[in-house]
Amino acid sequence: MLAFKDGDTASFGCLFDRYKTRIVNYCRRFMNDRETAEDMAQEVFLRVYRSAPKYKPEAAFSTWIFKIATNVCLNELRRPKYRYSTESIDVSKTGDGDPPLEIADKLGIAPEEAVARKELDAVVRRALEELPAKQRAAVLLRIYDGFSYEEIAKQIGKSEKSVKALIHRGRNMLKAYLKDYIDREPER
Amino acid sequence: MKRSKCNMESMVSAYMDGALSEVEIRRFKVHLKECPECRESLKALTALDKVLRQSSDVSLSPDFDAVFYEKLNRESRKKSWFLGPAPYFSGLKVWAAASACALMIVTGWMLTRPDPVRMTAEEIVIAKHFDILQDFEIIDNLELLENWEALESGEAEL
Repeated sequence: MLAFKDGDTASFGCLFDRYKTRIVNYCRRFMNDRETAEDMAQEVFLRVYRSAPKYKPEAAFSTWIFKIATNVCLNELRRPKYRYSTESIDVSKTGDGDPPLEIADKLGIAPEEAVARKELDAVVRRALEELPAKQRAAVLLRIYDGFSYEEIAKQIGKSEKSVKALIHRGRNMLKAYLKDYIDREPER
Repeated sequence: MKRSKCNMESMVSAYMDGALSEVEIRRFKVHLKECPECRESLKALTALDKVLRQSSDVSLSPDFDAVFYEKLNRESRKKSWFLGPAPYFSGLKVWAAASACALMIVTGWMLTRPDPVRMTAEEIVIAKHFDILQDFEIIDNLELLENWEALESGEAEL
């Protein structure tokens, strides 16, 4: 990022290639809508591009870019269409994730397992969607992207103590939503 | 969601995530041996993490990169059209230019605004004592009042 700030435009391409999949997946798990998630991920990279002149390496670049992604997601969730929506998004309507055969190919697993995996994906996404926005952000940043509590605190603008509570409450809520899958877990 | 009775249950997540201090870890490990509720919670939350991590990543749309770079180019074009002279007016220079413009506008307005109503010195005095002068007509005609009886009897004329 510092190289890009100093005028090396090619380094922006490297950053984009390195982070695009992680950011799209973060937005995807946040929003449960593929198209919106890709739009938001593109917005994240546009903001990175615009902010380059003001960039100060106070934290790791990954912490910074995920902070931007979190802000983009939280802003998107504030829009009335999400604020007043009480029903979960219909999995069949959202073009949810990759097709089972593509998953099977990608992960080198049997098609039946890929179908089960796709069902699990949908259930997990719906469960995540039930979490309050900041709780969702904290859980995603911890579980899928492995950020520390300190980094998450910077990303979502809360204290480490609040992050600790948010993650624990989030996990307990998800435990209730995904009980059937958790109970099956030792047998897998 | 069932509320835990053990007040250390809230430490389970932090323990899993390596977010406890060494002292807290030692204390929590001792506690785990004695508390079935926390043991159960640790087991369930560890399984939950496994379930969550099994959900697969999505692939990007084939045109994701192209769409992004198109957006970026569009924005760069818009920016270069809108802020063409921006490189010459950055930072403090922008403020200086804005202040100069504001000063010119205010000066222009001051110079071109219509003249305020100008009063003579006499008019100013009249304005200051307007209440008194309202009664001036009565004072001016006091002579009439003095001769009122003569006027009434017809001995004098106006």
